[in-house]
Amino acid sequence: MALIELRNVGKQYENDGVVTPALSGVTLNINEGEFVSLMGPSGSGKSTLMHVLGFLDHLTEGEYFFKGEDVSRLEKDALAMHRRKDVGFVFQFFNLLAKSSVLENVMLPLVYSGIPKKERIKLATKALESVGLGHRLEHLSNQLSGGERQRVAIARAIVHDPAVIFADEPTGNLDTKSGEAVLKIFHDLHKEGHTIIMVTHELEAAENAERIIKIRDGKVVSDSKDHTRRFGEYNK
Amino acid sequence: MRLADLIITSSESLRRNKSRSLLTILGVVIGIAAVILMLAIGQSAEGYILNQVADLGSDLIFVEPSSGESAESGPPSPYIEQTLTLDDVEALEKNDYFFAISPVLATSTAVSRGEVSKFVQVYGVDENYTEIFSQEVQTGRFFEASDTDSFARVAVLGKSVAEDLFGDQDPIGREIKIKKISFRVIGVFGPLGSQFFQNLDERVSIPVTTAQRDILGVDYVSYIVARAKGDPDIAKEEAQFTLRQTHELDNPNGDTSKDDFLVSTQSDAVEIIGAVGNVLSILLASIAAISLLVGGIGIMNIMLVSVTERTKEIGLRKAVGATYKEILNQFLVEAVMLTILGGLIGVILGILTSLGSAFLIGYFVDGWDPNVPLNGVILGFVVSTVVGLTFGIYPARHAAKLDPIEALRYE
Repeated sequence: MALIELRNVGKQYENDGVVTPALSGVTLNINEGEFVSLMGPSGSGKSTLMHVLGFLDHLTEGEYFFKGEDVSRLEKDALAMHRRKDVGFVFQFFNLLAKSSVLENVMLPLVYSGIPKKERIKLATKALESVGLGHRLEHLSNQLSGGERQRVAIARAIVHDPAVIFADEPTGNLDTKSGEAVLKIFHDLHKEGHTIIMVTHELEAAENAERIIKIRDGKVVSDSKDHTRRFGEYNK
Repeated sequence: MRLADLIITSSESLRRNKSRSLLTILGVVIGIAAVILMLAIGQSAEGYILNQVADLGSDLIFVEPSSGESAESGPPSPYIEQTLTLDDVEALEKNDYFFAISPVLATSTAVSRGEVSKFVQVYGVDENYTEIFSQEVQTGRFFEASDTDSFARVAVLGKSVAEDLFGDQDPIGREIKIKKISFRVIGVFGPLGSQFFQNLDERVSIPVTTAQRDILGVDYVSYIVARAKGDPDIAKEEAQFTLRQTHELDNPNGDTSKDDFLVSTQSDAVEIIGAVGNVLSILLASIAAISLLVGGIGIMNIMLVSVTERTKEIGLRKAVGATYKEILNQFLVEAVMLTILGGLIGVILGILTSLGSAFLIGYFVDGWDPNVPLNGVILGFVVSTVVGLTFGIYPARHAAKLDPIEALRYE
C-alpha cells in the first residue's frame, strides 16, 4: 500500500467568479521511505500540490488516500489533526518565532499534540542534536545564521516523528554551503527511513532526490527515478 | 492542547510586548480604579450620614405637613400648606405612645443686643425639646411649661450666639431683641456642634407660643418631633391615627397620600438615604460602563493590530496543527489576561486612592471612615473578565479564521 495515493486530483481557485485551475488530473503514488522532488517553474502548481498533500489545502476534484484512509473531503479541523500528527514542514523563509528560543520553536508542534513539557524538552533536544544544534538550545532563533535557522526548522519538522516531511524550497534562501549542509541533513533523514517531499525549481537541488516529479500548468509532465546525481555522493 | 500550555503561550506573547500590553490595559485600569474610588467615597458618605441619623436615636419621630400627593419625605417647603398646629401636639400628648413631644417653628432672623447684631436661626419650641435632643443647658435654665403657656418672652442662647452678643459677660438675666421685641436670656447651651451641616451653637430657642404670636404672627408650627415609647413603627401608626382624627380626615384605609401630614421614623430616613445611595450607584455604574466600554474598544483595537502583525506566526501555528479553536482560545486568553491584569492593577490603585482620599477627607470631616468597597473589588474583576471576553472575541475569531497558506505567505 502506498503511503500517498492521488487519483485524478484537481484543485481550482475561485476569485470573483473567475475559476483558475491550479492542478488537474494528477495521479501519483508515493511510497514510504521515498525522497521525492516536486519540480517546476513558478506558477506550475507544485506548491499547490504540496499544500494539498500536506493537508494545508482542500482538493476540489479527485481522491486522496493517506495510509489507505480517504482524506479527500476532510473538514478544516480534521486536516489540522493530520498536520500535527502525520506531516512536518520546512519552509523557504524558516518561519521561526523570532523572540522564542530554539528549543521553544522546536517544541511548538508537540504543544498542540498535548505532550507534557518534560517529554517535549526530551524530544526537542533529541531532534536538535540530530541536526547538529544540541549546543544552541537556549539561543533565540534570531541570533542564528540562516543555515542554522533552517536546521532548527528541520528539527521542528521531525520532532513529532511524522510520516512525511515536506520541504518548500528549503535551500532557496541559503548560500551554497549552508544549502548543501541542509540537503545533507535531508539525505541523512532519508537514510534513516523518513519520507521526504521537496518542492524546488532548481534542478541542482532536485537532483538530490531519488525521484523527480515535474509539474507544468498543473499537470504531471514527468515522473522519473532516473537521474544522475544520486545521494551517494554525500557518503564519501 | 493543554490548558497550562494555552496560558503559558498567551502570557509569553504578552510578555514579549510588555510596554504595549501595559498601555493597552490603561483604559481598564483607570476605569476599574475610578469605580472603586467612587464607590468608596459613596459608601463613606452614606455611612457618615447614617451614623448621624443613628446618633439621633431610632425612636425619633417627625411629623411634618404634607400636600398629601406624594408619600415622599423632604424638607418643609413654603408651597406646602401648613397644617400642623399646637392642637395636634396636644392631641399627641394625650396619647400614651410618646414620652416627649415638641412642636418646632423655625425662622431665620437677626437678634441684637445694643449695637451688636447677629443673623441666627430662631427656634420656637416647647419645654420638652431639650429632652428629645438631649441638649444640655450650661448656665441658667431652659424654659418650662409655664413659660410656654404664658407666652413668656424668654430665650435660651446657643454658645456662639452668647459669645458673639455678650463676649465675656454673663448673659443670664439680660435683654436681647428679636424683631424689636425684647427677650430675657434665661440660659445658655453648652457646645452642641453641628447636625446635618447646621451649626446648633448658632441657634436661639424661644417658647413656641411666643414665636407664633410675637415673631411670625402665625398659628401653625413647622413640624413636630417626638420620642416613641416602645416600637417606633407602632407609635408612627398611632400618631397617624390621632392626627387623622384631629384633622377630621376621612381615611379609614390609612392611605398616606390622602393625609395632609407625614409621619416618619428614623428607619424611614435610613430608607430614603439608601434610595439616594442606590441612585448614586446607578449613576456610578453608568460612568463605569462607559469608561470600560472605551477601555474595551482600546483592547479590541490593539488585539486586531496584534493579530495582523502576527499573521505569519498564526500561519505557522496552524501549519504545525493548531485548530480553529486553539488559535481562538490563544487570542481570547490573551485579551482576558490583559483585562484581568488591568482589573488587578485597577483594583489595587482603587483601594490605594480610596484609603488616601478617606485619610484626606477625614482630616477635615470628623467621623468620616475609610471604606474599601468589597463589592467594587469583586465587580472590578468580573467586569474586566467580561470586557476581555467581549472585546477579545472579534480579533480572536479574525485570527482563528486565517487561512494557513495565505498567513504563511503574509509579508
